[in-house]
Amino acid sequence: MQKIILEIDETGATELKVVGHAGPGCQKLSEGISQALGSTVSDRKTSEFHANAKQGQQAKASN
Amino acid sequence: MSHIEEISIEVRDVDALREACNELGCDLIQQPHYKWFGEIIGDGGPLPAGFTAADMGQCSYAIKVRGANAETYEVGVVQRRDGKPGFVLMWDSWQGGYGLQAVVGEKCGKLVQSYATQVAIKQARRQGFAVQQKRLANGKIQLTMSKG
Repeated sequence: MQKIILEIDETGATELKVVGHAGPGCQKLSEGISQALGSTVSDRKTSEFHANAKQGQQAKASN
Repeated sequence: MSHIEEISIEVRDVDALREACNELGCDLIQQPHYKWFGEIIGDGGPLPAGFTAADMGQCSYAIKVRGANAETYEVGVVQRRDGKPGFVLMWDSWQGGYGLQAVVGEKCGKLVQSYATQVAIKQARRQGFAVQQKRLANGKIQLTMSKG
């Protein structure tokens, strides 16, 4: 299941997390929502993002 | 979790802003002026990019607190002047706007929170997500959007 968790505090500060979607495709998942809201100030990619991107590269190299 | 974004909210969707106002007990009215003190006396901080003191009080829409007394200030919804689409919110914070701040929050934080909630729900549904909304103990609104 693809999941996005958005938290907005009472100052309007907004944080968006993509959960359970490993790899670079997660950005596509949240793009529409973050663009509708405004502009991205920071974007931290987690180890899950990089782990699956790396596996993708290794799979390409071995083919 | 694969990535975490911090987003700066930009007000662009008037319908969502109208819904947000309604949620807070305010009305969004299309009119050219909003209520404020009437002159700048130098204590309000910097104006948004492209604005001068002469622009204060003018707007595309005004946000009025429902049932407010005659003194209560209003929030002006003003077209941006920095080349980006959308609006800036402008208001006079003197004495909490005589009741305005209690409703829309300090620096319109509650209004922006409500606006962002409306926009996010609308966009998420458009993209086929199911949305659950929760108010957390710390005052945050949490939206959990899921599909598949």
